[in-house]
Amino acid sequence: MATDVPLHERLLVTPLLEGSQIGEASIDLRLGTEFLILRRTRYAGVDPASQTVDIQAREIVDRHVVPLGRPLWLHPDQFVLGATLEFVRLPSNIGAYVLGRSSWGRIGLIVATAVMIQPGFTGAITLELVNEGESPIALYPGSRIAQLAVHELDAPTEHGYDVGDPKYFAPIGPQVSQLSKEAGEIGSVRRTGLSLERQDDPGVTPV
Amino acid sequence: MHVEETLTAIWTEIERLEERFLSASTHAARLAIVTEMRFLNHQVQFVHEATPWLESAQESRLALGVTYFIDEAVESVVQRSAGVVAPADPIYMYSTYSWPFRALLKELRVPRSTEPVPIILFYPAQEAASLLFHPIFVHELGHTAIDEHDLADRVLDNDPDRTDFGTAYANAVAAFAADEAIQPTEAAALIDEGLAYWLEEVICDALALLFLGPSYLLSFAAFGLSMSRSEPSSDHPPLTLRLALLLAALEFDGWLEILRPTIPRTLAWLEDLASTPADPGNRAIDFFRDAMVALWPTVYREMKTYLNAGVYDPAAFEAVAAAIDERLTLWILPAQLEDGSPADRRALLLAGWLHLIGGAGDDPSAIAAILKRRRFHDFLAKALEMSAVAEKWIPVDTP
Repeated sequence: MATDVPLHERLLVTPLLEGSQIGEASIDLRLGTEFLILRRTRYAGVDPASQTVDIQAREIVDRHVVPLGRPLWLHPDQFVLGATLEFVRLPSNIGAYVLGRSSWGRIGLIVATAVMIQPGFTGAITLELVNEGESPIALYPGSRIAQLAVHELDAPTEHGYDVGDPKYFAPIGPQVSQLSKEAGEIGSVRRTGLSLERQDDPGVTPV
Repeated sequence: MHVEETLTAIWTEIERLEERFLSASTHAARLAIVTEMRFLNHQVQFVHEATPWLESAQESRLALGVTYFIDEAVESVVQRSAGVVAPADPIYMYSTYSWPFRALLKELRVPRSTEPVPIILFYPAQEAASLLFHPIFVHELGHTAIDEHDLADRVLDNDPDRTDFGTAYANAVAAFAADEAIQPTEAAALIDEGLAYWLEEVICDALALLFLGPSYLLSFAAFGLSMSRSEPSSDHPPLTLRLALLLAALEFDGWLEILRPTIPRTLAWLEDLASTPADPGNRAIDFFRDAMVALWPTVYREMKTYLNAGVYDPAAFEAVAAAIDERLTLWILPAQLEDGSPADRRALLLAGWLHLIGGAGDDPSAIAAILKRRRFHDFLAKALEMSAVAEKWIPVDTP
């Protein structure tokens, strides 16, 4: 649509395949064609404190591409990472939440367990998809799977997602976890825990 | 379908031979049938070559955007219904087959079908994600187009300088025969073969350039220059000659006016390469070189007519170039333009090249580095995919 607002200051959803996706209070988003399907591996688990946590996170997923017109079958209790078909860009004064659509929720599909989209975000939104129902569900890339509820900030933020070194910059498909970027946080938690243990019982040998 | 047709024909032949064997009344007759079966078995081994092709059809290593773009190019360039698979090749080259089992089907007396045309497009396995090399696929599709539509004959039949060409050909045969101390008939056969190969390559270059515009020049140069320069071979013109022909065509169609302000140094480097003196060759090579230069205007004109609406118009690119570049700079997927229309995939490829070259300071020595920018290649491939989806999308209320 024609507008005088510079491109980098706009809320963008592209490609917008049908105008009817824009609702009164939300924008319908479609399912993309790339998936990360979790699998069992030789690793004992995913430990955010481990130096190899990013390798562990990559090892537990297989990447699959499902073109439009074909389904991905999501079985009961199965968890996959998908992404929106659309590439979304939020300006610095707009935040958003991504929510499932009730039609899918009523057959057991949970969409987007991590819902907040920060101002300044650019990219396809990763969707955490879980089948909590009792029957396999056929997911068709291109179908409307989620909705984006946007809200305007009182003022543009200076700490938008695009400032500094964002964890997931301009992703085009589902992104593997980058838990290693939480290493500082985990380290702080562990040190705090250790110091509390020593405080409680000076005789305890730290782990 | 071609593989299925071949397997069905083989099975039918096996059953036929089995019946004959069971009804054969003499040992000699049975031995003859066993010999036929061994020959058939030998032929069947070739069908096993199809295994990696079929596997690539199940799960391709190419981005969906590339697959969709190949289909789009097939429609314009091959102009036939086609079944395309693109397997990764451990050999570092782009190449193609079409109708791989046609000879076997002829042996088995199966009536020749015309569509869908089975096309196998090979690409270097290491370069699956190197989107900006993949315009070379369009050159490869040109080989199928030549076979399906006799495009080489079309060029030679429509060359206005046929008489001069005939004289040059005769002189080349005589000189080559004398130099190599071979019979003129043998010299003619060798020259015919080499000429056919060289002509086929320049026709494919013309088709790719007309369909894609300058992104073919850039992909061709980036890929080819790592492997050759001015050395001719019996089946390929030297790269520098091909560059010269491509640049002449781009100048003719007005593309260089668009490129020169944007990538002047890279263009100057390509022009300098194209003017590299030819490596010495034998009389046949000299004839091929002169023939390609002489035939190029006819090649280009005939392929332009053949492609018709498939020719990429420089004005169409100019109209969207700035908008696409702005989106690339901001890392906004350039699948749709301001008016909601899907971006032309050819515009995306060319804009991608120009964006990267410009971002590297228009320094030709940076081309190798920009080809390694994997994130950008993936991003642009996703733009190709989404642009194709937007173009082909069938709205909900469509009957």
